Amino acid sequence: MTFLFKRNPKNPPELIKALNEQVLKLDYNSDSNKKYQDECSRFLKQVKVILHGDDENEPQPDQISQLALEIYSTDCLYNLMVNLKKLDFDSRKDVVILFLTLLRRQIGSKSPTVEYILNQKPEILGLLIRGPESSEIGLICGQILRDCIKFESINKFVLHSSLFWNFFKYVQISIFEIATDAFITLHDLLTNHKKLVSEFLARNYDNFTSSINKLIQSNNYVTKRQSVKLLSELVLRRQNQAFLNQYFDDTNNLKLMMILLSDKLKNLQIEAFHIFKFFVAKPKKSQKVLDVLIKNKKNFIAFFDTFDIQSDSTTIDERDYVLGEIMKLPDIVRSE
Amino acid sequence: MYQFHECIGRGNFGDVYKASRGGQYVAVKVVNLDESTEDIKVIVQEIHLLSRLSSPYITKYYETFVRDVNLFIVMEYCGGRSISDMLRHFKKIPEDIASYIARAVLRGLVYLHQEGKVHRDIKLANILLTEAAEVKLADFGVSGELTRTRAKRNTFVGTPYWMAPEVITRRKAGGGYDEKADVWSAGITVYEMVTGAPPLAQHDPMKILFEIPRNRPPLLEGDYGANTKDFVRYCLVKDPAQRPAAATLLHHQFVGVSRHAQAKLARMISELAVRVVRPRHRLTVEVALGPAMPAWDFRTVSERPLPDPLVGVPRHVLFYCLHQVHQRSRTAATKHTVEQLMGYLAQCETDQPGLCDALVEELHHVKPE
Repeated sequence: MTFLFKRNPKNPPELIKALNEQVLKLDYNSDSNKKYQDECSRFLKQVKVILHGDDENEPQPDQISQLALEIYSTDCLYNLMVNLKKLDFDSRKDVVILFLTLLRRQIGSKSPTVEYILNQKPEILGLLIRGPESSEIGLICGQILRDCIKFESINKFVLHSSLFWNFFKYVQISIFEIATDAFITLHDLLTNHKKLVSEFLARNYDNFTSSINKLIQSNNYVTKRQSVKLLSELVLRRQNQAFLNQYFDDTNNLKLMMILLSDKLKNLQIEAFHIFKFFVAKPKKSQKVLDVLIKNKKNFIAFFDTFDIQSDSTTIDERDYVLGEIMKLPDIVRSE
Repeated sequence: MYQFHECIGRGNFGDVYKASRGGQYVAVKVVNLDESTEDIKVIVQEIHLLSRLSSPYITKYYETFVRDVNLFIVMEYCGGRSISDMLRHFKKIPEDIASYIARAVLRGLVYLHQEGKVHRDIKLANILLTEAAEVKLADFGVSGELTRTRAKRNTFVGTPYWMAPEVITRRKAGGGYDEKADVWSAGITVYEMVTGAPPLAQHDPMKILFEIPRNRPPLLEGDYGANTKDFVRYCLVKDPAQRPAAATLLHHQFVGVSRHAQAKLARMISELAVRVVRPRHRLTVEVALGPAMPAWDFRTVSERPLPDPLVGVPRHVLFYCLHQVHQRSRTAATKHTVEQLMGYLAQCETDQPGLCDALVEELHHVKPE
C-alpha cells in the first residue's frame, strides 16, 4: 500500500518491546546487522516523538509515563547501553536524548529514573564509567554520565565505586578527545557536590593524593595542566578543610609544587604558585613542611625575586606576601 | 607519525603546516599551549565541537595530539588555497563563480547553524578550496575562537569589514550574537569577491567600527548582475531579526545552479601556486635556558623514606634533572643512554659521596652569558 502512510501501530509498551527485540539481535558479524540497525533507528525515532512530539503531535504525559514504565521493567536502558557500540551514529545520539529526557523526568520530588538506576540496574553506571575504554562510544557515555552525576545520589554511587579510580587511567588515554572528555567527567565528579566531595576526600586522602600527584607528573602537558588546575580548585574550597589539613602537612606535595614552580613553562609555574602559597600561608605548619621551607629559604628568596608574573595584581600581592612570610623564617646553617 | 612540510598559514595562536602520512596530505595546526593564557578547558571544548562536525562543506577534523607543550590539530588539507589567495591573484572573481562559492558557503552555514553553532569569522581567508574546487569553511572552533580573543584584547579587530552591525554594537556592550551574523558576513564576502574589496575598504578600520552600525547597509552598485545585487541586499539587512536565515537564502536565484563554474574555478586554482608562509613559531620546542633551577632541598629533619616519584634513583636534584631528560627522550636509545648515565652517576656517588652536590654547586656558579 505505497499510496498510504504507514499506520503507526504501536503503543508505547509495544514500541519498547519491539525496540528491545531489535537491539538484542544486533550483531557485528551478522549480514543482517544493517537491517537491525535500521529497525532500531526507526523505533528510537518513534520513541523520540513520544517524548518530545513533532510537527503534528504534542507529547502526551500518559504516553510518556507508559513508555518509562516499560523501559524500566524491561531494562531497556541497560540493553541500549550494552549494545550502544553496535548502533549507528545517529541512533547513538537518539539514545542520549532518550536517556537524558528520562533522567530529568520528575514525579513530585522524585526522579524515577535515578531511583531505577540506583536500585535496580546500577550496572548501567558501570557501563557508563567504562565508556572511555571504547573510542566509539566514549564521548557519548561521558555526556550521559555527566548528566547522571548532577544527581548527588548517583555522584555518590560513582565516587564510592572502585571503578571511580579508573578515571585516573582514562584521562591518560592516548586519544585526545577521549582523555580530555574523561577529565571533564572527573572534574565534575569532584566539584559538583561540595559536601559529598569533602567527605570523600577526607576519607580517601592517600589514594586521591597519590593519584592526582601522578597526573601532575604526567609527560602530557594537557594532563599536567588540567590536573594542577583541578587540584587548585579543590584547594580553594573551604568545605575540603579536612583534606587540606593533611595535604598541606605532607612534604611530598610541597616537593611536587616546588618542582613545578621551577618548571620552564610559565603557565605551570603560575598554577603551582597558586597551590604553593597555601603551604606558606597555613598558620600551623607541620614540622617537616617547616623544615623544607627553612632549608630552602635562600632559594625561595632568590626565586621569588625573579618570579615573573605579568598577570594580575592579586597574584603579585600574593607573591609579595609569600616572600615576606619566607623572609620571616629562621635562617639555618646548612648542616653537613 | 606525520611528516611536516611547509607552513601554509599563520594565526595568532598557531601556525598551520602541510603534513603527510601514508601519502595523504593533511593540514596541521600547531598551538603552543604555554603561550596561551586561555584556559585549556576552552580549547578542549572547541576540539570536542570540531570532532562532532561532519559535512562536505566544512574542513574535516581528523585528530589531535599533544607533544611537549604543543597541541597538534590535524584537519583536512585543502590545497592551501583560500578565496583570499584567489582574489589577490585574480583581483576579481567572476559572478558565476562567486555564486558557486556562495552556495557552498551557505550550505556550510546551514549545517553549522543546524548543529547550533555560529562560525563568527566568515571571510575570504577562511573559505578554502580543494584542487577539485570544492569549497570548505575553515577556521572556526579552536583557531577562530582563539584568534578572536586575541584580536579583542590587543588590537580590537584588525579588519572589521566583515562584521555584522550587531556584532560590533553588542560586543561593545559585552553581549552575544547569533547565527545571523554569519549571513551578513557571507553577504560581504560576495561583495568582496565580485568587486575585489569589501565595502568601506578605503576607510580606516577603527573608523568603520563606528560607521557600520550607524550607516545604512552597503549596497552593491555598478555593472553587476541584478541577482548578485539582490542577494547582497538580502544578506546585508541591518536588523538581524529581519535578515533571512542561511537556509532561506539557498533559494535565492543568485545561488541557483551555475553550470561549469566548478570546472572553471578548478582551472583558476591550478594557476595558483601554493603560498608558503614563514612560520612565526618554531615547530620544535626548544628549551629556553632560563635562570638556573633552584637546587631544592627536600630533606626533612626526621628523614624517612618517602614514596618518591623517582623510584629507585637517588634522591638528588641531579637525578631529578636526568629523570626529566629521560622523560623528554624521543627514542628508546636516548632513554637507554640516560638510564646508563643515571646508573653510572649513582655508582660514582656511592664511591665518592658528595660528588653530585659539588656538581650542582658548580652549576650554580655558571652564569649563562
